[in-house]
Amino acid sequence: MVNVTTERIDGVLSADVEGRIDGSNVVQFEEAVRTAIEDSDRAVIMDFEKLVYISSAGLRAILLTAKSLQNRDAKLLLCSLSDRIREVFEISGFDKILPIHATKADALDSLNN
Amino acid sequence: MSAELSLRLSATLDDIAQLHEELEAFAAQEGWTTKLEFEVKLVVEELFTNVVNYGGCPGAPVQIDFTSEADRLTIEMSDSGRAFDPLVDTPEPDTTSSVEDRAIGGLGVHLVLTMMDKASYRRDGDLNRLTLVKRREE
Repeated sequence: MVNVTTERIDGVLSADVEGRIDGSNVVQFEEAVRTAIEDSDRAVIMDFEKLVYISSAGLRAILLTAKSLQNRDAKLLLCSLSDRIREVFEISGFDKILPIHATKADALDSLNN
Repeated sequence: MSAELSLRLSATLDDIAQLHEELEAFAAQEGWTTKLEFEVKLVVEELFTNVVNYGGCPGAPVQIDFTSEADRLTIEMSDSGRAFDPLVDTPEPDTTSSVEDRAIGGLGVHLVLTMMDKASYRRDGDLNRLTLVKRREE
């Protein structure tokens, strides 16, 4: 099960992702994120504090989101990864291409400085 | 002391949810660390997804057997899809280029090989057979 809860903070879409992203529900995750993003959003922050699992199906969806944002000079940031989720990002080299912050406040600060 | 879990799934993405539920229960029963549970779920999902996407026989049975022992976990997976060794026939993933240039895919097997201690494949009659071993650290 995956739930995505969004709010807009100063032109930045914050998306709290809860549950797990696997091959059986990745389409729901992609759909929830895609419908929430508006062209006026200058950045998207995905908060993974309550994300307990992700497989490469989820990484693929995140990369596609990052690519589509980058096409219009918007950014994707991630925050609050558990050790397990971080391990998946590191093995995949995703920690080198996406900014990962300890907290949502840190991610927001990085956009405003 | 060893315990076994035997799963017979159908090659559809929907069955990934069942795979995770069964593994959660087995992990709790066997006292796996959260790290071991996470890695096993991930590795098995990646290989199962390969069968669904590339096996060429949607809905066909996939057999997955887990043997949990004090010092190791052994996973044996078989399917009747076309002959395919994911450990060799999958391209190396792109883990270094930028967001614009990064190719999508190929990461599943890379995760499997990184997280498992041993992985081997053999073609056995009409079956693909994968055997994975993970040492238990605790």
